[in-house]
Amino acid sequence: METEDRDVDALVDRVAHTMTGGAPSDALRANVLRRIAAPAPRAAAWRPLVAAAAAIAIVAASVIWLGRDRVVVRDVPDRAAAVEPARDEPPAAVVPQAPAATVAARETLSDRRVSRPRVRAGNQSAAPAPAAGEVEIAPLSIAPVNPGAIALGAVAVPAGVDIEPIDVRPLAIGRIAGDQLE
Amino acid sequence: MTDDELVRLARAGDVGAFDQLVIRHQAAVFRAALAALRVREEAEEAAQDALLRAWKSLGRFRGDSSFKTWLVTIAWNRAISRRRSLSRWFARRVPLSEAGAIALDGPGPLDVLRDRERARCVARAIDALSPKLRDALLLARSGEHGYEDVAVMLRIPVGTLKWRVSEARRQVKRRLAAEGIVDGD
Repeated sequence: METEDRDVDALVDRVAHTMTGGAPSDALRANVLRRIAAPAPRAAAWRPLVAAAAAIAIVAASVIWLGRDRVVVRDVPDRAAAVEPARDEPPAAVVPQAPAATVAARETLSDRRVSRPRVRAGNQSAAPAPAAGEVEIAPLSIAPVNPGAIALGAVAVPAGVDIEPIDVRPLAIGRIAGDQLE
Repeated sequence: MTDDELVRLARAGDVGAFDQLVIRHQAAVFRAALAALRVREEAEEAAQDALLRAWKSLGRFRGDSSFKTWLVTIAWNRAISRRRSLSRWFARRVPLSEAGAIALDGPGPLDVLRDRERARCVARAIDALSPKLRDALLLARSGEHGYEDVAVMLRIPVGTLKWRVSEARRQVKRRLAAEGIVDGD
């Protein structure tokens, strides 16, 4: 029994030895010496350059992206401009001086305003002419609501359902306890 | 010339001295890489990377361990890093027929066949071990590295290494018993 156990151990060891066995090829040493003798690979020299170029590209893309957002803000008429249409300077002239936090706020605000500019434009004679490619939308006209005109008497309401009163017997605590004991 | 003397010369830029070190230790470096990667081509690549890295890092060799241990540890780390990045390494292990070709004593052809089949089963069982146990067993039994060296390579105490080798053997035997290759009693 012990002999067989030792035999199996020996077999496991021999197989493990075989699985990591063999000698490296002659090319290994030759390749190592060749690579040592070779000058430093060019790739190593460009890596910092590539990294710097990538960083510059990212920064440039960010600047362009942020700049694009500002243009969007500029295009949207300011609330003040809606009240005072005669003002000559475009409302966005103030925007670049605004702190970054307010720019974000203006952007969300501008999203809400986007559907309204043409309504205002209908009330203002100074509305800018639509640029090429833009669709001209006719101003909405909303009739004032007249509550008196709504005929409430004409509304048919179904008759209510009669519910019979429910007879509820008063609770007796002693009785409940008695029920539980039973 | 000793390894230390060659290292001193190599540090000074003597490529010939480093070449001598490569000749002495390339087999150990290769076997360590093969134990991790199990594919000859990958092991050669890893060994090459390790030797090149050793050449570049000679200045950092402090002599805490022998040069061979330091070198083989670099090879092991390179191979493990390579193994992690290889998704296909599982599918490209050393063909089991190589393990089956192990020279075992057997007087007759039937015995040889039986032993080869057993060797294949053992190789499969070793393959099925967890990486920790398999690495310990293969490195310890590669015939190139002592327990002390392997413990340094794996960054574990010698006692832990011995336990892993023993546990690896035990699990292989249990699997062989389950397959009816050996008695499980």
